[in-house]
Amino acid sequence: MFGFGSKSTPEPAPAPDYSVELDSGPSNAHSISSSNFMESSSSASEDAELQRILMREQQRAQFQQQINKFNDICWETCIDKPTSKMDNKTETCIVNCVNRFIDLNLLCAQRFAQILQQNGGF
Amino acid sequence: MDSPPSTGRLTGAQREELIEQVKQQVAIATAQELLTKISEKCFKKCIAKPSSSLDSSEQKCIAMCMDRYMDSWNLVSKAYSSRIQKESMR
Repeated sequence: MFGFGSKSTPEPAPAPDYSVELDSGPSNAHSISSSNFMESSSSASEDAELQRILMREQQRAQFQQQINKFNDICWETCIDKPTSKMDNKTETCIVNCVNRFIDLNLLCAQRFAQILQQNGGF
Repeated sequence: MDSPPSTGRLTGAQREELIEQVKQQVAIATAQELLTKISEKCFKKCIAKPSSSLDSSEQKCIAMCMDRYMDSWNLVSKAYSSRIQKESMR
């Protein structure tokens, strides 16, 4: 559901069914009793709130995914043998690595778009 | 005009629980992936010639490796956040 996009992500435990029953028609029709009415009118804004919260959690998950990916690459690039603590040189390397990798991604995306244009797509 | 779908069947408590479950699952998945990575990386760095057991130097290396990998993770997290902030201010 979160579309991690990485095959190495383990499948989360069976996700709760977020696509809960869409129940607009009947509950509105029955909204004569006050409790039903309260429920269906406040539900709409609660839904939006819920959507917002779930979206935020998804973004958080994607953020973590990215960090995992960067760390994977930059660890290989910057660290040869594990030591008892991080030295300055290694720290600088890692920070540079993250930024250069992002720069590279941007550059490749741009150039790739150009290449596709020149070749008239696939 | 269509009114937005109503999830009238979820109570407040159920919403809370749903959100908690989502958070938990994300945390678990993240932790699992991290552990998998750490095991892989540290095996490569520390176990040059697999023998019949993990000797003390290998164990020491593994402990350091894990600590450094987590240090690196934190560093990357900070660097990435900064970069995102920078980009968003352009």
